[in-house]
Amino acid sequence: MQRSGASILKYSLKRIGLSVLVLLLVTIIVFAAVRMAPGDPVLTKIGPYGDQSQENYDRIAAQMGLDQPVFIQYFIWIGQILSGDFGVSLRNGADIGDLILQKIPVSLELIIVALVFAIAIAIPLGTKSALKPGGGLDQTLTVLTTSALAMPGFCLGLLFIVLFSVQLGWLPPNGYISFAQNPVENIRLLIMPALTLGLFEMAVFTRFLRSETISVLGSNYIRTARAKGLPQKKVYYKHAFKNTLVTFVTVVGNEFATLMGGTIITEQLFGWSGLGWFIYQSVINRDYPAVQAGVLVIALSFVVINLVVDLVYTAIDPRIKLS
Amino acid sequence: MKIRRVKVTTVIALVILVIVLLMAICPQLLATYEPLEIDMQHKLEGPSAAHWLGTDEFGRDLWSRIVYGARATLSVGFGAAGIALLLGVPLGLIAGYFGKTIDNVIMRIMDAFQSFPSFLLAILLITIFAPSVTTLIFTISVVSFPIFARIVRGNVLSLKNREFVEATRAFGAKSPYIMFRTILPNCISSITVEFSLLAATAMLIEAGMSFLGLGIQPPEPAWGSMLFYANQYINQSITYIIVPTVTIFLVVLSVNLLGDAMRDWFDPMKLK
Repeated sequence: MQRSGASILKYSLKRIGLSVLVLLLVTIIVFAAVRMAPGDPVLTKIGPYGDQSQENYDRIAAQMGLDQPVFIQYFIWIGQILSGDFGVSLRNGADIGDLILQKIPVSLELIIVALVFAIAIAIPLGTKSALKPGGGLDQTLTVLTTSALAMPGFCLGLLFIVLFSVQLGWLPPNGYISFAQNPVENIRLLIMPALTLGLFEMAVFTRFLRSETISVLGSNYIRTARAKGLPQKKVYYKHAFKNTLVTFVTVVGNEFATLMGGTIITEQLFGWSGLGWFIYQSVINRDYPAVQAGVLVIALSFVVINLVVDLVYTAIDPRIKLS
Repeated sequence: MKIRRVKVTTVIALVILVIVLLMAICPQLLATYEPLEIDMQHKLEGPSAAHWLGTDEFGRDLWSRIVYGARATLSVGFGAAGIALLLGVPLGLIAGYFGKTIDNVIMRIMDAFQSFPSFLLAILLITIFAPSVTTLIFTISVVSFPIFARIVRGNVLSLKNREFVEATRAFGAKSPYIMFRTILPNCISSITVEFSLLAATAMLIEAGMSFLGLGIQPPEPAWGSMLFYANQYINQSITYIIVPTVTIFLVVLSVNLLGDAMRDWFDPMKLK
């Protein structure tokens, strides 16, 4: 297919339209889920000591818009979300929007450090093992990555705590202090959760880079370059590596999106009080509006990050078929 | 036919899975104690002749709790993968076989399901329904059936214009017959491989949920929730943490290795 500006635009619009559709579905799922949750929000609002009469109940229900048909309630809710109003926490009455805004950078610090660590190790390991498939390094790495992928994060994290906190006493087992408050303590607390997430991602990236590099090295243009008499190293770094990187960027992007919703267990285990930790605390406390808002924010960022990754990929890779 | 060499790792994986299967089917044969038997005199002990893998904070035998915990993990793993298969395979067959609008509608819905982080959706559903084995199976199958639909659809697309399918059609076979009796048997290899991968993922989700206290509820033994409690006694007993960790790791690794072995087995390109 010809790659004209128009076809790229058409594809991008289609992809954006699809994401909007998905976002709509996500909001419907989250809305329906909270509707099905046990407990009457009106009674919660009135409280045990409030006016328990039917008139007061109806009045509060009308105030909250709960006397409207369900689909109208849905649109009222969407309107509130779009204007940044996520409601207040049932637990302490704090504004949920504010709470989430505070938690996002905490999670981002953890995710970004873990990803950078994983990438820094995976690029040399993955490409080196692909240059000599079946060799000693390749076989060792296959065993290691297979193991890392079968190890649940919380198991690995617990082993780290046993080793680094209980046995060696090098690192504090859990907690969170912001970087601005105490940079050294922030990093000491960050090491174990970042390693836990990072090792898994490292396995994912190494495996991907290995198979991608092997398939690129087998392609016609690389064989042509080799046939011209260029040495393998030069062929590799001048031609193959760049092409591997293009697809690798999308894999990193997808993993980043996945981690946005995938840090709950790790954050909880290490007391790293980011967004995942916040959602878990809200689940335990049956704080439905907070769970709803947290899940919604993560799901939205997941869809948006994947959309951006996809569009960037389309823009930079000339080989992609637009269909 | 060539005799294919079976890898040592595959054999070990198979042995481990057979043992775990036995644990799930008849735990009373393998366990040395009752899983709920409390013995405060011997709490948080290391391995000994009486307690092979040591004891937990109530003096309950860890080996017996691992044995009795196998059933929950395997039920969730294979139950969720099984339901996902039953939902996803027919959808994939229909989408691939009929194509056009039907294909488009089905696959866009699958897109929507797959663009939701699965662990998060599981957490949301579990908050609403009470945590239990059934909730876990339901939740995990809902988040993973699109994978089957996608894989089967891909298979159908490459198969539906092949000669043997055309021949069946020429004999006057109806669409359902072609879909289920002619095309489906040729998709079995990729379905089997995906089934094993999904079962492993489901077990990991179960363990994670139980670890968060949102899965199998105490005192019912489950590998994930054992770790939740082990974490609180981390300064007193290391075996308490190591035992469930190694169990989960070995079982998930075995299922993965077996999946890889099946993929090599079914893939004619890899025959050497």
